[in-house]
Amino acid sequence: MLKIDNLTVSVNNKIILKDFNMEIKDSEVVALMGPNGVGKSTICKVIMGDPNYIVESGSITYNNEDLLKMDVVTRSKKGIYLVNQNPIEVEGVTNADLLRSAVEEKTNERINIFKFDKELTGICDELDIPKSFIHRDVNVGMSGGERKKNEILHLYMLKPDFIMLDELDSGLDVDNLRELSLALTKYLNEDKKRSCLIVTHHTNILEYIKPNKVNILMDKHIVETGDYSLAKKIEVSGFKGEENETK
Amino acid sequence: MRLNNKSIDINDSVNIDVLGNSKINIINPDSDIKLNIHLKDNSNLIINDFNETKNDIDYNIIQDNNSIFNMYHTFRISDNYNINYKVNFLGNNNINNVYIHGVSNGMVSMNVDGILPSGGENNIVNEDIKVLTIHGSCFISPMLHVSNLNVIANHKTAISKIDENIIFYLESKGINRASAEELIENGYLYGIYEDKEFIKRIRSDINE
Ligand SMILES: Nc1ncnc2c1ncn2[C@@H]1O[C@H](COP(=O)(O)OP(=O)(O)O)[C@@H](O)[C@H]1O
Ligand SMILES: [Mg+2]
Repeated sequence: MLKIDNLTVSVNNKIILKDFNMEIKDSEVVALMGPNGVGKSTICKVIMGDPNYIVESGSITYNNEDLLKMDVVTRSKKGIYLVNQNPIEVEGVTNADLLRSAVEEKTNERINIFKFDKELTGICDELDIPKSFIHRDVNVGMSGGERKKNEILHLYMLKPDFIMLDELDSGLDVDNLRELSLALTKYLNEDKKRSCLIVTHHTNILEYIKPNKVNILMDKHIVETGDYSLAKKIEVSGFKGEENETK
Repeated sequence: MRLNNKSIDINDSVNIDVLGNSKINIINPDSDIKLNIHLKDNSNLIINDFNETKNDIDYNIIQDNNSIFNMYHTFRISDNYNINYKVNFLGNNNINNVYIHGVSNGMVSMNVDGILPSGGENNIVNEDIKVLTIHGSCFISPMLHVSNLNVIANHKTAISKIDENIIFYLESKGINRASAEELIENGYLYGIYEDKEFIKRIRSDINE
């Protein structure tokens, strides 16, 4: 379970979030919606531990531990995972290189290459990802949608408990979005510990991964919380009520 | 020494005449290396060079006519390291490609000179130099003396720090900083070799 209390966050000496509160229980799917530039990606980066984002005050606890005291690697090892809005390119490092390093560090033992290859190949089949991705440089030369898929490939290998999907829908076509969403729903349902924060400003993805809760972020904090019907309402009338900003 | 359709390993200081298609592989030399290489007409030479020692290199290349020279050089240095590289064209229609990728955790200094005299026509020089300064520094002094309009000389150099956003990304996958740096470095270094066999040799050489 992840719980954020009265969090104030700044970037470059500018306050982006103020008195931000949010709670995500085990096995819950929570949506975070809001117009561009309100700080949705910011909260994901803060949870992951990006040093560019400064926590001025407030707290985040994860499974009753002080998350803000943990470094990025520890957070990852404790099961936190971020699918970035724009996954970065890592030239010269293949998916296999990255995942081998990550898995070896997590399990603290040398990987069995045969098992490792077999598992990766199986995941590619399940997610309908070309096997050539395994030996491609991480996200290099991939389209926006392919990068998102690539991040889900990593996710399946690393098996996190708390997943943040930052604009998973951007760059994915409808078919890919549906397939990936179904795969993620299945993944989440496999274990009661697993939970998910979906950041989006469209409602498409929420039709496939149904949220238990919908939060609206504006003016640096959550201004409204509801169920799926709140997302539907936003789709029709926009974040500010009258003008339609959702698309 | 004379190379003719041959591939050899070098760990020494020598004069070499190149004929035909030849290749020189150098991995972690035991001492400073000085090579005076003369590419004869219609010859083709590839140098694969990987250096993690503080032994300096000094390459003096002369190309006659219709020759092609490709150098793939990488280094990972935590000491002082000097690279002196010079190419001189005596004739026409030569190509000289120099790819250097390095990681500096010490002090690296590079002189890369090209002489394209007025007599030579259609000579091409491409220099592509990238150095990652993780815990060190690098100084590059490139010099192209071009006295002929009918040549192409491209020169690219970049000295950069490791991208903290990439480190964060790798850390967020549970990879600690030291391993993340190693992954990035290795990719950066091995990435330039077209000869995958050479990469295998480097890997087995440094793991031994
Ligand atoms: N690394 C950064 N450096 C400077 N400003 C940033 C950085 N990240 C975010 N911001 C600023 O913080 C605000 C919120 O950005 P972001 O969290 O990306 O919004 P959203 O994801 O809701 O569109 C924006 O004004 C943005 O310009
Ligand atoms: Mg965003």
